[in-house]
Amino acid sequence: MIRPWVAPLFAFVVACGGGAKEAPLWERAGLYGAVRPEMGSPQPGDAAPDFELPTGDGGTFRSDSLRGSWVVLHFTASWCPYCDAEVEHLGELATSYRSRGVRVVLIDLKEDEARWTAYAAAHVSREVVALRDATGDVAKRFAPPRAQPSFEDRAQVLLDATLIVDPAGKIRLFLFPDSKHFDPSFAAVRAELDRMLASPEPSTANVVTIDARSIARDASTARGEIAIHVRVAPGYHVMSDRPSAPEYIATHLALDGTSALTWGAPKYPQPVPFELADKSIATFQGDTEVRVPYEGAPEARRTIRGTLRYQACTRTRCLFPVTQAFALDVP
Amino acid sequence: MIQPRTLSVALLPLILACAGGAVVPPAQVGGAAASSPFDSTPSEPSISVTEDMGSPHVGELAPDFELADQTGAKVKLSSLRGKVVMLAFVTSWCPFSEAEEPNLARLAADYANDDRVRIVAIDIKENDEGYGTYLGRTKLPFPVLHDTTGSVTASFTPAHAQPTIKDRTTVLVTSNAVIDAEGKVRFFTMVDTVHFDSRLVHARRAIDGLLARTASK
Repeated sequence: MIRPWVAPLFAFVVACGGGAKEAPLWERAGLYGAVRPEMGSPQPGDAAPDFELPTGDGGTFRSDSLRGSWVVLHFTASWCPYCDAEVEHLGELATSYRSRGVRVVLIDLKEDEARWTAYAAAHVSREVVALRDATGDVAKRFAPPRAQPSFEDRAQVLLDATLIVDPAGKIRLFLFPDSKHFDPSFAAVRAELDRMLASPEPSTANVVTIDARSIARDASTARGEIAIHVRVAPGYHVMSDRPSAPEYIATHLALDGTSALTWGAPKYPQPVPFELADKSIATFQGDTEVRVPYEGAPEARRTIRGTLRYQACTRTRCLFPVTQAFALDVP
Repeated sequence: MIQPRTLSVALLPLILACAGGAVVPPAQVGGAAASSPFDSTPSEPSISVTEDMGSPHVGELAPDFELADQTGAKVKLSSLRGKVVMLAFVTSWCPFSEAEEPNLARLAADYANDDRVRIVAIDIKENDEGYGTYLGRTKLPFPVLHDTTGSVTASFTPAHAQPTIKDRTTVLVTSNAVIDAEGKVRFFTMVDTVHFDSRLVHARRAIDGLLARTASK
């Protein structure tokens, strides 16, 4: 009798340890059907399995075409009473979230083409991308191994399941049907979607962008200074040039010189403190400027090349250190 | 970080689940079934049909009916008075019905020599092909009645249960009712997809509870 205790207890401890204030997802109204950690992968935080399915008109739909969009993914079958009660509301969801860049994808499970085509034509909104998983192989890849263990056909585990997938292709919400609190209107999914759209996880693309802002020159001395604009994306911070701990990665700007042009030591901006638990970390955030003195004639080159080494974090996640090469047009 | 009150609430179902499992000998509920909190012995017996859902609910007389089983023999509910009758509403297409089917067979086999109990399945509004699929999947030691029109199932469907589902007979798919010797409904649940009792532990308890009560009279 000991073993069955371990997994739920572990999950409970993890759930409580992770977010001290927030109740686990599956204890929140409308989300009782949420996939639980002990069911196995995939689950929220994991990449959604990629898939390819035929479209009704002879083409192929690839899931990677959804990257960059928020996606509501729902699995259905025309004979499933719960699914049928939901299908019109799914269309309404697609219509009302279209302007916010949300795409709704409906995957039919293991039905013959004629039956599904007729059902889809009569009941599925044109705003919904309707696909058919004839073999159930796509659904199987979404089925966490320990969800509904008595279902031998693992594709059936996904019947009437709903997922929210973020623009990076990561699962953010994964709900199985909950017959006890059945609500065909997707109210809980809409609420979660609203919450996510309001505070999206920052994209890992373009974390730091670099451009030249101005160049000052004293012709008589052949000395000057270039101001380089470094923009750290909202939600991110990078360590300063003199980080608060020796193991942190210092932000470091390097410009390529020539025989006619010598760069001096960069002057970094004042660091901004980032408070994390009991620590205060020296960081750069938002729009900042690094000024680099020079000697020589920068106009001799239309483009200045260099690198910026930095390590960026959000409040909850850190990215690996990178050395980003850039080329600036001299203003 | 762990609040004692939250912990005890969260643990309660686990304690009940484990305690429940201990009451029913593993041989009876099928040792092969996976030990998972998501379908083994849920602490609560699925979704109980309550008075506010409409009739019939627990305490009311079950509607009478007569339907043919797979051998062609007619089964009339009122002719089973004096026995504890379990009605399992099933279809071949419902994954939950499918997962319950071998456990239903096991339950019926366990009471095969007990004349006080009858296990009866009702296949809801399927054509012969669907009915045949249900019959062909597992060796079934109990009658499976073919409710071809769905009218019997409809008479058992409480009006306010799952009101958003249009086809009212499908509301009862994978529902289980236990009816006492007087013909009254004593246990009536609809499938709980989150806490799925595939092994019918609670239905078995309801049957045993009624038998114990009759014996002590």
